[in-house]
Amino acid sequence: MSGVSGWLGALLVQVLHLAVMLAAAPLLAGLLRTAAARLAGRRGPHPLQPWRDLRKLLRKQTVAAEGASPVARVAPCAAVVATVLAAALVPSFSLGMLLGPLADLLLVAGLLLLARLARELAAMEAGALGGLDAARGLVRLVLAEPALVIAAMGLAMLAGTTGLEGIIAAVREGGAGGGVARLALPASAVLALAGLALAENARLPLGGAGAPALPPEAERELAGDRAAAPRDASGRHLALWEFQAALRLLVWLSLIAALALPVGLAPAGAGPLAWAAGLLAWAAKLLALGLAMAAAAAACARLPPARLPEFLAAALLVALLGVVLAFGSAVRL
Amino acid sequence: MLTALALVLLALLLLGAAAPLLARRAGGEAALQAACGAAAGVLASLGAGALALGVAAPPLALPLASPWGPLRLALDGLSAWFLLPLGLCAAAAALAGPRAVPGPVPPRRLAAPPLLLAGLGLAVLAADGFGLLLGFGLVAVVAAGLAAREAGPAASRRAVRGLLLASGGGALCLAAAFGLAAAGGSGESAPDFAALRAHPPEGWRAAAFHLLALAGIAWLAGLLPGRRPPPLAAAATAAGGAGPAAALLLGALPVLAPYAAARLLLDLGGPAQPPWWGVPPLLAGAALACAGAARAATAERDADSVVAALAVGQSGLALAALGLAAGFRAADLGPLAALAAGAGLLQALHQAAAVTLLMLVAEGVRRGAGSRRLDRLGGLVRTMPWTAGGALLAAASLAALPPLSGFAAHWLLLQGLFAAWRVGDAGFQFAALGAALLAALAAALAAAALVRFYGLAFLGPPRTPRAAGAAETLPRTRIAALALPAGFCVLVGLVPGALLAFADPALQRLAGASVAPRAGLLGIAAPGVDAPEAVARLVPPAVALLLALVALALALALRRWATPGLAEAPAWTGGAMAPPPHLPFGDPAIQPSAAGMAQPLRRAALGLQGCAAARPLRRAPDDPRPAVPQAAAASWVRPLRWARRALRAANGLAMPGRLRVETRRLPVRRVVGRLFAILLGLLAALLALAATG
Repeated sequence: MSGVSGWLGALLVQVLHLAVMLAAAPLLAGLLRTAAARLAGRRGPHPLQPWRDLRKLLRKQTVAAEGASPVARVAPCAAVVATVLAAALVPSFSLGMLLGPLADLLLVAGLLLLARLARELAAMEAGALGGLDAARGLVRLVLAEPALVIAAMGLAMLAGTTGLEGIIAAVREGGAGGGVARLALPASAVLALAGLALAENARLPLGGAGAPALPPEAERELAGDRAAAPRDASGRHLALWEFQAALRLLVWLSLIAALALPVGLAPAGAGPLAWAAGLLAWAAKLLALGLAMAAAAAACARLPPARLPEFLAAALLVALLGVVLAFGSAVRL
Repeated sequence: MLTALALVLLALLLLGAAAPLLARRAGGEAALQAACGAAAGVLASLGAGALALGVAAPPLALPLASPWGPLRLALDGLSAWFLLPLGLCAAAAALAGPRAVPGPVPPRRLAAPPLLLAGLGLAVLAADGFGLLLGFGLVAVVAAGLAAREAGPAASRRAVRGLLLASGGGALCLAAAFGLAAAGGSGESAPDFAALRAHPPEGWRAAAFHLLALAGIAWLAGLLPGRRPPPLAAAATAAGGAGPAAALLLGALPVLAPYAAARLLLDLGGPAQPPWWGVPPLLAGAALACAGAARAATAERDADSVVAALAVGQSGLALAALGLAAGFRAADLGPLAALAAGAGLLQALHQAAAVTLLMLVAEGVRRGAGSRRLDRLGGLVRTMPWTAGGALLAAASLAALPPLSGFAAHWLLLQGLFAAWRVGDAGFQFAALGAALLAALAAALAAAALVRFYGLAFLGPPRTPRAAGAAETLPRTRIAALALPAGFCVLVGLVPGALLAFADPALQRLAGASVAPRAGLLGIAAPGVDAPEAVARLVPPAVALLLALVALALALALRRWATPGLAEAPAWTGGAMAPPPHLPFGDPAIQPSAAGMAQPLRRAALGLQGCAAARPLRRAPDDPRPAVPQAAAASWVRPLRWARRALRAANGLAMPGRLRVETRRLPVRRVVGRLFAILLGLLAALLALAATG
């Protein structure tokens, strides 16, 4: 009986988690946009604006380029499906979800890669500029992937597994009391992941010294390879791409929050009270991370786009540093 | 069973010899293809049967003797497993074989597939070094003949010369390795595998055997990429018009590299070798994977050259997995060794299926759209839907996307690399770190290459009138030829655990341990630590089911909330003018091209090399550095200068946020240098701590 009730509880947590993730993704994007505008001294849009945009876009008619192939029609759906599954796997407020045993860092990375490649293929359908966007996006992918794998290697060395629940448990143990390497390893991995999250979600303030001072969201729209959607997406396709980008940001931030600050996560088999506390903690962590990101984007100097490879190489080196430290130290799991 | 296999090989040789007669008959080519397909089917099913029944037959001595002894064939778990990719590739190639173009066929082209299959089968089944060399040599000679026939005169001479040089060098290396091992071990001169297994090489002989064998394998299987395309890929692309032979050369021959490495280094090398035994294949394989994928992503501009470079890269990944298994086995980590070897075996099967599928697609594109240049294709997804579907499946599989075959193999390989620190040897640990880096880079580069390939060939507007008029001719056999490897791509992706359990005899031989408790029907658990929370699981059927469920929910949601329908409008070209009427296929100068798609990647790689090309621009034309005598005179200043430089470096170290973003471009060399300085400092501190406490 307890097995059945435990299973039902896990299912309930899973459904709640997915619902919260789907609802919170556009909201988080809106909050970040508002925060960025306020930091720049503008009023900014309402935080619910992404939701309103989605509703409006879904009602509009979809226009495709003449002779666009089925690939362009299927790509946004494929990207959203893969990202939703990734969102279902990354824990938000509670552990012990139904899909918890399935949640694997490499699987999440593979699903996000699937969404990325769908985006680049859809861009290739959009003529000359689309090809340029896709080529630039592929460069970012090629530079980001090694850092991601090495960060995963560090976490896997710490936990002995790439399963997310195992990693979170190991990080908690290391935080409770452990040697230098037990702290340095997850710290370097999470730092590398944070750098990747900035680059992958187009949150780096890019642009040369002479670039005009545009609001960040307009800047993202202008740079085709960093925009959420390929250039010629419209209607429901545009809505799907925007939703996918918001959800991807939420997946990255939840992952970093769960790995860097695993406090407040409700344990497996907990009751509604612990879930509520976990939800509050999760919201606070996301807000803190998002605000830090917005403040950093407002305060830091712009990075010339040609230096993005170096930024990602630095992320890779940080991840490598953690792994090498763990090799060098005798403190191992 | 061995007798049957030997008879199949003999029949293939006879078929090859009878090709000139068959070429004159009307239905000769079809009959020959059918015979080849049947032979491939028999090979694969005998291999599968041997794996399922666990038959261990005594070696069969053929009545064909070499100067060094009889020629022996044997069938164990390892060769039985590698008969599967071989048979799969050959069967698909034979199904796709009969050409759409009627007319007489040159007999040389007709004789190639059965002879190639016979050579490959002989190499897999051989039970001594002579048989292995004979098989590889047959393949090399046939490939050289094809290249001489199909390419133009100058190109063919170069291709044939390169091929023969590489094969000859490889054969010499392998022969030397066998001679060394035989002379050191049993004292017999015959390089018999059973004798070698009983007396594996030791000491310096072992090291020499290892390196010679690895070099020989890489050369013979055509893996070594250089500035020019590797000779085998050149031969295969030259033979592209020859149909099944090219698919065999690219789909099956690179698979033989992991087979030969597994046979010589893991099986014959014996379990008593030190951990460094795994390092050369690990690093060489990962570097090869990276080089092949980089070549496919940046240099190649033809559809089949891209596939050739990718095939080379994929077999590098399998080699790396086998090297990892050798390291684990040397450290007595049997279950991990079994997992790593399983990654290699799955990678071999996945590679054969996906590369064959992509090769058939490339050949279909060449037939249907009349060109293999990526710049002359485009928009084929509308006119060649079956081919485009097969290409998408193969590309997704090769790019290691879940839940297809590439992801399963890549996941297993990475799990093995992540567990490599359990081998106590520091050198092996660092090699595994480097291999993980290279493998990740290779996967990303392969994904980039495949997006470029698929986007240029199948998406966008057609770039030439011929591409606009492309059509696919699809007899039933051709659909089956595409469906067979496609089915294997899905099968390997969905049930890797069941396949690993099926490959247990091979894993027993390679790793000395069984993977059975960790590989179930549905999924795999890694890395095999017994604590339940410290286990990563791969359950691809569940992933596929969940993806399908989410897709269903999304379809329902879109149906409920979104406005249906799709209007068409002229493509938005970023505000550029519509092309003039004399360019109905658009202005070629503003369309994405193979070289243009590769350029950002090349530029990024250049930037990571420390901007060596950009440096002369920064220095003033008249160099203000002091001449040599002054420098010598002022040598006492040097320590001061060093101190200043050290101070400046320390300043930079203390404030890594101050990377002087606006003012100056900091070369990545210096970033690397700084970070490694930090690293060294931390390591020194740790060592000091460890020494004191």
